[in-house]
Amino acid sequence: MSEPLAPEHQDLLQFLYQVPIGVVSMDEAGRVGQINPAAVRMLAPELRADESLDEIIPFLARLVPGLVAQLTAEPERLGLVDEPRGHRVDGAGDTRFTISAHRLRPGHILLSLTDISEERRLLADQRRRGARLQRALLGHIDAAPHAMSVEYQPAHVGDLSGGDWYDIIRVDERRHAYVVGDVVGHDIEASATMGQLRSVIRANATIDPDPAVVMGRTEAFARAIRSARCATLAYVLHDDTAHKLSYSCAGHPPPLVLRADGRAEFLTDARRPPLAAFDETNPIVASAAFRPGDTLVLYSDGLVERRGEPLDRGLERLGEVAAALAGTTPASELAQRLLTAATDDGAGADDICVLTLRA
Amino acid sequence: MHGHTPDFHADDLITELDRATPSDLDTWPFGIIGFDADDRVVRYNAAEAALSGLDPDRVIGLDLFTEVAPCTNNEMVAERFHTCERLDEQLPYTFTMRMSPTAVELRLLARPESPLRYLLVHRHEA
Repeated sequence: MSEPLAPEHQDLLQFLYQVPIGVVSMDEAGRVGQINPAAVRMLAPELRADESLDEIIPFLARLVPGLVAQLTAEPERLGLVDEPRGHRVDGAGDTRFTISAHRLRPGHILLSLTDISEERRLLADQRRRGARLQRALLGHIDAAPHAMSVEYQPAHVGDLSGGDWYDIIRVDERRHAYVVGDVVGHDIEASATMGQLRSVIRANATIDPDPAVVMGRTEAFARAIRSARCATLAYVLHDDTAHKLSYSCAGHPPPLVLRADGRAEFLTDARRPPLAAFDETNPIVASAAFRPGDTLVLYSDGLVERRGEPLDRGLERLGEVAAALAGTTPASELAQRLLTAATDDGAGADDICVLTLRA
Repeated sequence: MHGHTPDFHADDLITELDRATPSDLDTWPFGIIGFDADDRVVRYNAAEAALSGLDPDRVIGLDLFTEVAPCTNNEMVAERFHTCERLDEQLPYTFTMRMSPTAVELRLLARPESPLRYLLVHRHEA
């Protein structure tokens, strides 16, 4: 047995054994001089049978190719070789960690590994809380009188804290208001703003559902709370007895009406800027006939926007697809079919919300 | 146990471990860490102390996976102990004896009948 180490030496060893940041020293060929337990903890589960922690360039090249490329491309470069955040490794199970490299002098490289699994768990927790909040805020939608379908697809699977929302408000037995809105942002604040706007619109619509009045009062509210600035909104009041839609659109893509004879008509006569975007905005309302067999489609911009493409092209495409589908698709499926058609070419990076109503 | 050298790979090693006293374990040729149901280190033999450089009295009572052998705090080792009541597994591993990467063979032993669980460390000869 070797001589026991001096207490100070043991203190030092114990300190290094317990440090939660992984540290590895190696030469340019990846021969490891020293490595601490935290590094082994993170790296060992990622090793394949033919890899080792003695000479780790092949292993690292597989795990963090970008980092190895930078190390080998500039073997004279001293100091931090990579961005401070390092390269992320999505390890086995829930493990996530980052690796960054620091060259002390040519031939002497230090790697540091930081476990960010906790960070990822907290982020997942936050998303779940956001989703719960959104569900609570969007709860209780009134039933519509006619055949209706609604689809909502968030931008990130499992993450419901999107900026899109919708509402169906029963005003009285012959009138319903349909709303689609988009709040800036994708987080808990956006969910809260969306909930507030929804409440304001609902509260006002049940007193006086005229689009000009509702839009005016909602805009006044949006001026007061900063987070609602530049929110977009499409508000459509349907009168079943009069067979009429009256509507107002604040910065939102125009509602679409598909006529029974197959024609696609965008409702573009009541366009005004997004909420609280400018100091003074005049309320503007327009109306359109809505007869049995006609279909109304309200949607968020995710359905028609593609990067690098003018909005008009997206609207044209929606019109074509909707017209083709409307004739043969039951009302209860139309929203889903429209959403699938829009995301088929993998273009979606945005939330998408679609409401359809058939008279 | 006189004149008998325990074999790292022996089938019923856990029974021998349970019967051995701490002084007995100090004569065994491989590292032995015995720990209780709360993951506190209760046995830390001389062979293990020589490998790590730490006196046993520094580590007795500490949490094995977070304070004594943090390199094993992952699904390959710690989680095996946390999910299996009965365990007898061997796997190659890298220990960081005084920060040098050291190839070792680990043996994970646990059974409901024993008061302790064991992590055994066999250093591959250079």
